Amino acid sequence: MKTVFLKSYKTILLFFLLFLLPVALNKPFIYTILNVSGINALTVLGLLLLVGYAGQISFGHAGFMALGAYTSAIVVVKLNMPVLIGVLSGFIITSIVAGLLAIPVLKLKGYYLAMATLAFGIIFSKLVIELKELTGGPVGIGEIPPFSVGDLILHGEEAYFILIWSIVFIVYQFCKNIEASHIGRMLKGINTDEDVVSCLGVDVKRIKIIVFVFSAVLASLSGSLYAHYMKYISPEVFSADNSVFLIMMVFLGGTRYVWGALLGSLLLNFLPEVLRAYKDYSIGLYGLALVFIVLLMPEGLSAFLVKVYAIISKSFKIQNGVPS
Amino acid sequence: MNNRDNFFQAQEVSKNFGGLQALDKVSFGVEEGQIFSIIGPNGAGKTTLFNVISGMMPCSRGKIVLRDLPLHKMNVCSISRAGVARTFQNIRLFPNMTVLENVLLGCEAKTVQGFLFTGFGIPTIRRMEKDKRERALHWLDLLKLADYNDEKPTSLPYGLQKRLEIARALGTEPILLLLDEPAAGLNDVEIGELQKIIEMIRETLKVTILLVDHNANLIMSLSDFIMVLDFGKVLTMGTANEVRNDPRVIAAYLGK
Repeated sequence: MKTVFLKSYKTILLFFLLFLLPVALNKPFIYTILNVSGINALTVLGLLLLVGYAGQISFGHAGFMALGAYTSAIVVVKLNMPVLIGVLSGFIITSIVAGLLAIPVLKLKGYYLAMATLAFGIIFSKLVIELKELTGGPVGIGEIPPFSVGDLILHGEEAYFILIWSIVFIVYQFCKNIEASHIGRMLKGINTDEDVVSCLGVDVKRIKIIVFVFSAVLASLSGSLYAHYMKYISPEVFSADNSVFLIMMVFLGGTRYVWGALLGSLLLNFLPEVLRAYKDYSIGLYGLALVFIVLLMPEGLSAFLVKVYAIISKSFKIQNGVPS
Repeated sequence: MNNRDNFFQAQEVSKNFGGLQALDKVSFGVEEGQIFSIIGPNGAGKTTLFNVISGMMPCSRGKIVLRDLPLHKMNVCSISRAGVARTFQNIRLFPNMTVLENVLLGCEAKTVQGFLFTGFGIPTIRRMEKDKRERALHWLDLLKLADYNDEKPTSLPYGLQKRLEIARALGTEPILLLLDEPAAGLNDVEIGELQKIIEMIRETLKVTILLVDHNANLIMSLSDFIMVLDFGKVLTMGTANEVRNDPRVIAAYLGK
């Protein structure tokens, strides 16, 4: 544990800086964007493993977020259970649904896999709207109690920031460990040439299902946190568009570095806010910004920033007469 | 079938793709520690045979048995874990990973995956990683690729890429190694080195080898036994000398 903290002091420092950002800019509403970014980042980290590394495209993960959010909301609001039980129930139900879905769906590849997962997302959306007694239909579920552990009830943006970004920190370390391990190699191998990976004795089917369910459970966690943070959920929050958004966060952030997932989430959550000042032009500028990123940073924002940093530090060394 | 061939046996293996009979009742046996070569004109069914043995394709009919294990009933992953490894005619390395990582992937097959343990950074997993790394470095060293550990495979010359595929296959610690045209595209010097490597694999590592290639010198110098395929059927089988002088083999290669 100690070594994890020591090695990740840079990450902890960055999180701390993020925490101070709203205070520094004297705009407390930034906490909301940071918190939603953190919530999304959990799903994006899962998708980084599934889509970014293993190449198994999924356009249905907003559906898993919804599963987590609605399960937790229903268990807590209608069954009067504690929040942690709600979140845990979300995990259980999501793993079962994701596991059952994964078995047929992961036999598909490429566009077919994309369509199948998209279909799941849409079907789930419709189900949420139809099952009015359970989910509140289009109106959604309101007055969801805040996140609490026993008697400790969370109030205020700062408290949620600490909760959300602590969880992000843990999941981030987990994903970094996976990426650097034999599992990371297997996932990247599966993306390149699944049959050869099988030929090397790896149980490809099993690993794909494990990663799929893992990413779904992370999405479920995202959803549950969202429900207890916003205290209100409705079908629009978890529509198919959001699934596409999540995939965009993975690739615009970049898959070369695991922190690309965090960057992607921050980027796509802040960009609309930053452009809001431009009112009528905001949508056009948003599109332009995305095109700009895709064209100039094909490996994502994270890889681009690392390259820029390398160039700057190299020229700095040359200026100071230090041979590079 | 000869009793000595109870290491590996193919019995009446057939494979058809719709109307095309790619393999037609191919039967042969291989003794442990042999270098058994399969030759024939292009389209004879040699790579199809390898695909069927390694499980990448199911056979339409017949049996494939490795030390009493019915390979024809098993999937690719199980066949690999039973000790069968292969290389590919057109190199299939992982271009986005380093040379070392390519071989590491070969060594991981027998690892218990432990998703949660790995994610939480449990020390056992890290120790296993260290062991695997040592094994991978050993294979790279053995095949004289150690200088290229951190390079990407695409930056290696063609001959070394072929050697890397062999290193990766050896990483799975097979008892039966299928080499699919390992000499294709190699110059004479590289073929000489390849021959030494294949002999080393047989002598030192005690791996049985099924070899498919078009290079007559290589086949004649290395093989204990040769099987000739033509149009998916076994034309003849025998030692290098027997096959070399067989008029049917000459006709098959030259008469087309």
